[in-house]
Amino acid sequence: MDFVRRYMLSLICASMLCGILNDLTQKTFFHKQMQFVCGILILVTILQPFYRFTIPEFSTLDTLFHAEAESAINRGRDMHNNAFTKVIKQEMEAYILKEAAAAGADVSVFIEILSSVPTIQARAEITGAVNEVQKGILEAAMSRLEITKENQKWISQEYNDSNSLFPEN
Amino acid sequence: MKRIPAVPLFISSITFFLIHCYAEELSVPQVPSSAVQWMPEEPEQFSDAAASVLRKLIPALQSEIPAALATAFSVYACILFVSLLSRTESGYSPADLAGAVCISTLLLQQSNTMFSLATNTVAEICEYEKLFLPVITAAAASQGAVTSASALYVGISVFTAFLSNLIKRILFPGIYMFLALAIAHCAIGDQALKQIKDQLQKGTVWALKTSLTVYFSYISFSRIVTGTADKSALKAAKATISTIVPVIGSSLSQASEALLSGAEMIKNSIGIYGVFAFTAMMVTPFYKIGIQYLVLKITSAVCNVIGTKRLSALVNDYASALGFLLAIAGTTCVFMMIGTVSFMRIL
Repeated sequence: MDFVRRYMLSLICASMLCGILNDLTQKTFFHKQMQFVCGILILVTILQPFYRFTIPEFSTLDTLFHAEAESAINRGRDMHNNAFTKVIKQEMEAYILKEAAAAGADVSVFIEILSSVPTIQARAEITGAVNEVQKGILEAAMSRLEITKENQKWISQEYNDSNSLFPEN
Repeated sequence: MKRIPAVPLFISSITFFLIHCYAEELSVPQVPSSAVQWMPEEPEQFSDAAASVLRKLIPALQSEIPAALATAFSVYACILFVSLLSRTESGYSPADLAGAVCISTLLLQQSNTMFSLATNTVAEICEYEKLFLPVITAAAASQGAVTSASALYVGISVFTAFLSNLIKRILFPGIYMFLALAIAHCAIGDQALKQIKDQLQKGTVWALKTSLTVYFSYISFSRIVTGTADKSALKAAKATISTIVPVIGSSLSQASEALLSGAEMIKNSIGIYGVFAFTAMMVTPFYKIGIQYLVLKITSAVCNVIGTKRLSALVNDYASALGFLLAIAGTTCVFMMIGTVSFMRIL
């Protein structure tokens, strides 16, 4: 603001000085020369702030803004992927629980998504009491979800045969 | 058949769950303390929020008007006094010179306050934009508008940097230059000064209009070009989702739709908050400078009847300078609001 105040003052002074000089030399032989000098003085005073104006390096700015945009986009993408991963996890758990209920098994399922790009890789942890038939059904369900045998963890509890829809013969 | 009623329930529960997920990750930056008072209590309801801002604005206006009227009265008294001393209209008289000095002294203090207010507002808006833009870009990207959001982010940032530079280095000194020329013209009555002043006025208006037009064109074109790319990418993504995981692919595809709807809701909420935040930052300078501008314009019209033309023109030029300040701050605010609304409308 100090610069602007000084600039304004210099412009007022220059224009007043030129006006007075112009008036004093009105009917003299060097009136035109004085007008020319005054014109240059006022022009220089007016254009003073433009010397200070430097166009910012837009290539640098562009690179900076691209990097910032990339970072914001990645954040949004990560949020989307996280939310989608949670949905996949819920869907997989719901599917296995549905199969378990149909087979009469009372289990709890925990799915951990190991990677979602480019293909889904998941690890399953089944806790509960299951007989061999129920285990086979659940293993088949998990293999349909492309959960490999290595990624299936069984935490067995005491099996109560009366719960089963598929009693062993 | 049993699954059909469960689908909307499932989608709504997923949407609710996602809104919470996203809301935890995306927090909108706090508006500057000067603008907090103008923020609506409940920005979700647009009409209620706008009404609440107006309710707060009316008492503020009532306190601002007497101050503006006091300045206007001083200026009027000064012009009346000078006109009694001299009725000369051509050349420069000591009375005109004294009048110019007197009016400048009366109005410069006021103008300085308004200049600081406008400068601070532009700086605040630009600073807030730097914090706000990454949040809304992330929200738009989570909705799948990766290319559009990136193009908008870069475009808005580049234009804002350009505009703030233009304002700081050319337009604000230009307004001071305009005032200096107006005072000098009033004092000595040189027509060349008046012509330079008029050209400067035209140049300022042209610079603001052109920057707004170029910015608006960029936003429109980038939306058309990048929007198509994003839509195609989303279609392809939806098609592949069903094949990513066998068996649950179809329900995942539905969940994906719900996910995108949730992300869109979050993005729009952030956008509405942003629009109110930028408006809140603009309210104080708008009513303060606006009242001064209107009162000075009226004073100029009244002084035209009793005072010399040059002195009335000087008061009018002061009003025009305040009008420029308003236009500059308003343009910056409009830049940001257009940007925010463009984010809300992508996809």
